[in-house]
Parts: sequence; C-alpha cells; structure tokens
Amino acid sequence: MTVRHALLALLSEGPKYGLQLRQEFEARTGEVWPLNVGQVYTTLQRLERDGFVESEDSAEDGPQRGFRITRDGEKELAEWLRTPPDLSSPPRDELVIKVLVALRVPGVDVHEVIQVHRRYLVELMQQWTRLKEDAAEHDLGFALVVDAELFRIDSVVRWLDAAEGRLKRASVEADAPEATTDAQSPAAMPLPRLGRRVGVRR
Amino acid sequence: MTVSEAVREHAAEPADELEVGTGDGGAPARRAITRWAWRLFRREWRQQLLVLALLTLAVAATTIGVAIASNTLSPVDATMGTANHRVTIPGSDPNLSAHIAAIQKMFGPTEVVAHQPIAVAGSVATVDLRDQDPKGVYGHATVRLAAGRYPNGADEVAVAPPVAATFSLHIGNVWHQGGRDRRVVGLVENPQNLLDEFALVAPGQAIPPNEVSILLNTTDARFRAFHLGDVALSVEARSYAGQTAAATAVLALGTIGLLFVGLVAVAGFTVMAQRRLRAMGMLGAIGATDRHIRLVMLANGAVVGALAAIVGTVVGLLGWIAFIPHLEGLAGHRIDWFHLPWWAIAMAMLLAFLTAVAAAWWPARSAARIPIVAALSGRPPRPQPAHRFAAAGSALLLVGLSLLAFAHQKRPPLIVTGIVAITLGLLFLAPLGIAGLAVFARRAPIAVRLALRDLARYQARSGAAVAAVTLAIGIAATVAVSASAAEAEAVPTAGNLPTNQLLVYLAGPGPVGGGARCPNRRRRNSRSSRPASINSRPCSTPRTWPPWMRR
Amino acid sequence: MTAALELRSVSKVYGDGPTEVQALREVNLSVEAGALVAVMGPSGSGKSTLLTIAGSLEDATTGEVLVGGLTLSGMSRNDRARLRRRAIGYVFQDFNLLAGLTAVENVALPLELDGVAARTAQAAGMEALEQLGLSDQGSRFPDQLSGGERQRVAIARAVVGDRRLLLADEPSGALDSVNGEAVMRLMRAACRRGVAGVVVTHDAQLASWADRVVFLRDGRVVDQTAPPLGPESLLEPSPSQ
Ligand SMILES: Nc1ncnc2c1ncn2[C@@H]1O[C@H](COP(=O)(O)OP(=O)(O)OP(=O)(O)O)[C@@H](O)[C@H]1O
Ligand SMILES: [Mg+2]
Repeated sequence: MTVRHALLALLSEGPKYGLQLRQEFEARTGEVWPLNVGQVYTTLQRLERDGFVESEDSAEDGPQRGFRITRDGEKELAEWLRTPPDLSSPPRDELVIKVLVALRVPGVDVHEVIQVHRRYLVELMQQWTRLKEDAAEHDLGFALVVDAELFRIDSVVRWLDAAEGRLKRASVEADAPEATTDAQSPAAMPLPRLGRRVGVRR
Repeated sequence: MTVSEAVREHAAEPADELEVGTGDGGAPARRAITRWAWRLFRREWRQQLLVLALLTLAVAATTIGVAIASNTLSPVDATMGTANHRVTIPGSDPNLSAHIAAIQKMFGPTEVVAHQPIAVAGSVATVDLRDQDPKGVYGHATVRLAAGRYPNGADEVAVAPPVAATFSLHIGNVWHQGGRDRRVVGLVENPQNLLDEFALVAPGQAIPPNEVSILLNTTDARFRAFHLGDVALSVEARSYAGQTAAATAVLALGTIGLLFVGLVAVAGFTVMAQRRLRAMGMLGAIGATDRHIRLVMLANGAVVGALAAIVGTVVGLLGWIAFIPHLEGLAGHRIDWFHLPWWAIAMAMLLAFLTAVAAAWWPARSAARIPIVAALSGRPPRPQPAHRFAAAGSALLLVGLSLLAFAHQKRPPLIVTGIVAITLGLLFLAPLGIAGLAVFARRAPIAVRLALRDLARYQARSGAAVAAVTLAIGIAATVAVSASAAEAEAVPTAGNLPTNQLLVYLAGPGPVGGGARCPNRRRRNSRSSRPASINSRPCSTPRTWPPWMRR
Repeated sequence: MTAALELRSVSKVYGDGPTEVQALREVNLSVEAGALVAVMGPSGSGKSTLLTIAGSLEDATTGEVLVGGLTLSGMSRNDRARLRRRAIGYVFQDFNLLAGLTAVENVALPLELDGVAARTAQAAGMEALEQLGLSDQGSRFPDQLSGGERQRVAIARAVVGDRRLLLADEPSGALDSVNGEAVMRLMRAACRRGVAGVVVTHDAQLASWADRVVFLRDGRVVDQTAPPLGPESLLEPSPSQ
C-alpha cells in the first residue's frame, strides 16, 4: 500500500512526470526501495481510477505524461499519514515511510504526525500493561508474551522519540544560517542530505 | 487500632477535604532532626577534623594556660599556710606566753610555731629549726612528710631535702648540730616552698625559741584595732590578688583564640553545608521548615562544640598533669593538680561550645534560604554582589587607618580599635577582591583558574577564611604595635636603662623608694606577702625579720 | 469532589532578558484521587518543572496550583512545608533517602517532622514498608540497599501517613526494567488506595502503567491518551486499513 501513498505524497508537492516520480521515490527512500517503471505506472493508473490523481493531458502515455494530485487524493494522503500501521506485522518500515513522507508533504506538521503514532502506541501499551497487571502472577508464559509485545512497541516509540529529536536538531541547524522559514516547513528539512548519506554508504 | 489509623487520627483530617492545619512538628520533629544531625556527624566527623582539632586545641591551651597562671603563685602561702595574718614575737620577750595567750584570746583559733636558727658552717644562711604541729589548723599545708616519720621526743628530727643535702643526712643518721645530737627519722618538705631549709622537731623541742610566730585568720580592720603593748611585734598580712587576675587574662587570650577558630569554623561548616546541600533540599521536600533545616547545622555545631570542649578539657588536664613536675621545679612549690580555677575552665568550655554554635549559625541560615529545587540539584546560593559591602568596607578601612595614624604608636585603645576596624573593613572588601581575582583568572593557568573560580563561587566560605587570616594578622599586629606603644609610654623603673636616660629616686615614704638605701625595702620573702603594719620605723625592722626570710 | 491536584494555565519562566527560558506555557492538568497520570516528553520539555510546581517546591510565574482544593499561591513557607509533610510525597530519580537514617527511619521522617512521636512514627513506617514487601530492609541504611530497594523505600516514605499526592520524577530512571516495573506496580498500588499520582518519565513502558499519559513538548501539553479501552480491545481487529 505504501507505494501508492508515497506517490501521492510526491505529487502533493506539485505536478510531476512519471519518470520523475520514480527517481524521487528512490532518492527519498534512501535508494533502499527500488521501483520499476511498470510498478509506477500501474499504481498511477489505479490512483487515477480512484480519483486521487489526474493526468495533465491524457493524450500520450509515457514518461512525459504529468500527474497532479486531486483534493480527494490529498484527503486520502492525510488520512493515511495518521493511520496507525498494522502492528500484527512488523510495523517499523511502514511507520518509517510515513514519517519520511510526512516530511515532504507541505502543510503537514511532522511532530503532530509523530505524536499521533506515539499516542496510539502508548495507548496500545497501556492495554497490554493492564493485561499484565491483571494477569495472575504465576502465568509466566503470558507475562513473557506481553513483555515481548511491550518491548517491541516500546522500540517503535523510542524510534519516534529519536526521530523527533533528530528533526528538532535538524530544524535548529537549518534555522541557524538563514533564520527565515517556519521550522516545520518542508523546505527546512534537510532530507536530500539524508538520502545522499545513505547513498554514499552503499 | 492499627498504627496507620493512629497516625491518621493524629493528622485529624477528614478523608476528603484537605486541611493544612497548624503546628511545626514540635519536640518530635526537633528530636528527629537532631538524631539525624548526630548520625551525620558520626559518619562525617573526619571531614570536620580541622575545626574539631582547632577548637580542641584552643580549649586545651586555655585549660593549661589558666592552670599554669593560677598555680605559678602558690595558692597557699609558704609561711602562713591558710592563715591570712602572721604575728611574730621575739623569743626574748619576757612575757612571751602572756602575749600569746592574749592573741589567742582575741582572735580565736591560732597556731603557734617556734623557730630556732641553726648556723651552717661556711655560710651566712641558717637552718630554721621549727617546732610546728604538722596537722595545725593553718600550717598543715606548709609541712609534708616526704619519707620516714615525724619526730617524736626530744632527740628526733625530720629535715628538709636541702638540709639533708647540705649536711649529708639520711634517715637513721644522727645529726650533731647546735650542741645536740638528734636522730633523723624522716624527710619533710614545705610544699609551698621547696627551697625552704628547715628541720622539724617534736613539740616543745625548739628551746629556747629565737622567735615565735602566730598564725591567725582575721580582718585587717580588726587587727589594726588590736594593740599589745610595746613588744617588737612584726605582722604580715596576706594579699589575695593575682591568681584570679592571671586566670582572667589567660581566659581573655583564649577568647581571642576562639574567635579566630570560630572564623575558621564558619568556613569549615560552610563547606559541610554545601556537601549536605542535596540532603537538606530533600529534607525540605519532605516537609521540613526553615527552622528544622537550620537546626541540622546548629545541632552539628553544638556536637562539634561540645565534643571539642570535653576533649579539649581532658587533653588540657592531662597536659597539665604531665607538666606539673616541671612547673614545680620552676615555681618552687608543690602543686595540687586539682587546684584549678574551675570556673575559668567551665567558661572556656562554654565559650568553645558557643563559638561552634555561632559559627554554624551563618551557614545554617544561608542553607535554609536556598530554594529547595536549587538545593536538590546541589546548586550553591548565588554570591551576593561584591560591591554591596564595598562602601562599608572602604569606610571601615579608612577609619581604621586614620585611627592608627592618630594613635602615633602610643595609645593602645586607639590602636586596638583601628586594627579591629581594618579587619572588619578587609572582611567586607574581600568579596570585591575575590571577584577581581576571578576576572584576572581568565588568563591564569588552569589550576589557578579553578581555585579562583571556586573562591568566587563559594563566597561564604572564602569570606570567612579571609576574615580568619585578617584577624590572625590583626592580632599579631595589635600585639606588636601595643607592645611598642607600651614601651614608648612606660617610665622605666628598673633594669638596664638606655644610655641617654637616668633614673632618679626621690626621698620620701612613697612606695617607689626611700632616700636611704634600705636593703630590706626589697621584698624578697614571699611573693604573696607584704609587710602590712610594722610597729617600729622603717629600717629598724631587720632584727625582727625571721631568719628564713633573709635568703 | 475536588481534584487532588489541579493546575490552571500554569506558566513558568526562568531567568530574564536574553537568558529567559519558558519552561511551562499555559499548562492545564487535573488529577483525581486514585488516578495515576504519567507525563512524557523529551528532555527539557518542562516535566520536572511541572512536578516541582505541583509539589509547592517552586512558584508558578502565572497561573494557579491547587492541591486538595487549596491554592498554593497565598501560602506561607511554613504552610507549604506543612502541606508537603502531610499531603505530598516525592520520589526523585536517584537521591531520595537521607544517609545516616535507616530505611524505616527515613520512611517515618515526614511523620516525625509533623510531630508524631518517634515510636508511633516508626511503627507506621514499618507498616508502610511491610505493605510494600520491604519489611526485611527496615533496619538497613540507604547505602546498604540496592538502587531498586532504595526507590521502593522512597515510595513507602512518599505514601506513609495520609498522603494525597504522590509525585515521582523518573522514579526508575536508573533501574533495570524489572525494578522499574516493581516501582510502577507500587505506584499503582498506592493510587488504588486513593492517592493521586503523577509520574514523570520518558520511558513508554513505565508510562503505560498510568491511567492517563500526558505528552509535554516545549512546555506545552500537546496531547494525552484517551481513557483506557480495557484489554479486550487488543483482541479486536487492529484499526489499520
Ligand atoms: N533553575 C533553572 N534556571 C533556568 N532554567 C531552568 C531551570 N530549571 C530548568 N530550566 C529550564 O527549563 C526547561 C525545562 O526543564 P525541566 O528540568 O523541567 O526539563 P525536563 O523535562 O525535566 O527534562 P529532563 O527529561 O532532561 O529531566 C529546560 O529548558 C531547562 O533548561
Ligand atoms: Mg527532569
């Protein structure tokens, strides 16, 4: 599901061509997520079918064709950003993508997105903890399972904390030289650098 | 009723509405705080060792000082014992026994001692053959058996060690002297005058007496009203001055020493308060009032003071006891270790205690003023702005300097006041100086920089330390300047004169000197005795002076 | 019924001029008796400041603080001290017990400071320790206890007597997860007996013991968790797409 929303996010910055979308997607996900051209186009077609994007001119099919996000598409994106990932499967990757994407979407407060997830995770942990609290002392197996779950969710919360801290530092650094833009504006986010670093390591 | 119910009942609060109520914990709270302070002291006494040692030293030195001051002069007169008047009648007096009876009738209990001089070959000195009751009401303190036994019967004698040495006598020897043979049965001494050369004989064996002295207790006025015909009577009265005055002087010196130690203690206690800052913040967080927090420090000060007072006194007394044999040799009389001005020692103990409590007061006060949150995170109080006291300090310094200039090295009161003013002035100026040093510190090497920063940051203890140093220098300067002022002021009365001075004695009956040189004007006998009334004219008394006084 | 603790648009400013720090901005918080509230937030977000102001250790710059319905702002220093020893219990991160006093004496100290005779107070302290399963540690000195035991003794001290408000600043900051859990269980137990608890932490596992988690950022309350759903909700399908 994430490719779909990632493309929506890229389009939320402005109209783009299909090829451009593929390049930017790969660049932003740290080039760890290769995407073939076919995938991009089938996804875009589905998005168009659902009314989330519209093509600029429907004359020719190909790399030169431009797409633009619709109002419905923006709504879908905003909703998705705040939807907690399915925690029955390892959630981190999806969450990571969401935070990365949120950075690029204009008008989205990343901190708020992070907080929504954090609150959801903590509420989840509260429920697990309540289970553990109520469980009989001798039910060792159950306690171990709950602990495992709690630690797993906890690690996600910690990643969110770390991400927030990193963002804050980055915005302070970005503010310092020019001290102009709003800290939350995507322009202030040094995301390209992030991508470059990962690329260099590879 | 369970305990928690009891506690809840004590709090007397309805379960729902919170009421703060009144009261500050009273005696149980103070006890709890004191208990904690005491435990802390037991854990951390080593860190207060400097203050403890200084206070102990001050108390010990004061104890030894007052002990020496009040025992250098024998408390009991070497010739009168515990009596305060001594009447001497020549043995040649025809009505000797009648006169003695008259005196006894007039003054109640008296003690009669008969003397007979024994010449020593090759010496002008004589040995005093003495007939005296060793258990006499007044004289018992002037006779002590050192070995053997007291003489019994006509041909026994006990001699004083100097006599035994002169005549090479031992117990059991026979002493041929004055035409008589006497067996030496014991060694006696005059505890009040170890150089007293005398020999003790059994009652009635000093015959014929050269003179008879009568010891009695009376007032000067009563004695003056008493007349005994035209006998060549000589009288001595005892003076009581001296010992108390000496002890008081030593105590005053001790107080100055304690003041110095007190300033050091302020610095020490401030350091300790800083070390306990977090604990005191914790105490405040669980509901201790400012008074409780002050009590922590004050109780610590009290413990330190009490301990130093007790240990110092014990150390002082032990030192005193160890010093007695030496002092007996110097002072020439036996010393009873227990004969001490206990009031002065108690005073020194009390002063040490009060010094420690007072020294703890300032750190206690500032510890209670630190906000609890700052205390919990161990932040020291913000230093007072240095310039706040600078004006007062400069004024005091100026006043002090001008007083010194005005005193012309001659007026001790002005000098002392001036030095006190300078000390205080420097104390007030110290923060400014420290702040100045901190500025200078920026370019100093790292060790110096750290030290100076620390000084500036912990102002209270730096200030106290500076004050202690200033006071120490001030004391030294005061002593030196007052001494030189006193020297400049004083009219020399004796000793070597500078080549450009001349001492002239004026004729007259005044105490400074008579026109005629009269050898017996110089009181050589006992330091605490003075001729009180002499029946015959001055310079006619030599015949009536007992032989042991012509040493 | 009045809340055990209530903060009404509390702000706190440290320093002035260029060094001014806005530690709290218009914070509103209400904690009922029996509730345990966790405060989470990044370092420097004002969590400790919130707690010290709630516990009358510091004054708010503006706003109102009520403990058990009593306004703190008009109180004298002595009244506050009395309030602290009667109604408020603190647990700090690492330094809680007074060296030189045994565990039971430490627990009994607030009562003794309030004028309870030593013997009664210590019996109450022993009872509090027993309730927390620490009766063996009563006669030991703080330096003879492990970090976890020290924190549990500190909780006993914070709830001894008739305390209304239990304030804990990173109470398990230096402890491992087992000890941290033990500490949080104790806090919950205390709250179940009617104490209102506020625990500051940045550990989500510890915060999840609370009935409500308040999120603080840059001195502002930015979010809080919904009332607990109950564990059954875990069995329902997860709310993702
Ligand atoms: N006494 C003080 N003087 C000046 N600033 C202070 C003081 N105390 C706290 N601050 C500032 O107030 C802000 C909040 O501090 P606080 O201690 O409440 O943070 P915190 O959330 O407890 O952080 P941590 O999780 O690191 O303990 C911080 O920016 C801090 O620098
Ligand atoms: Mg904190």
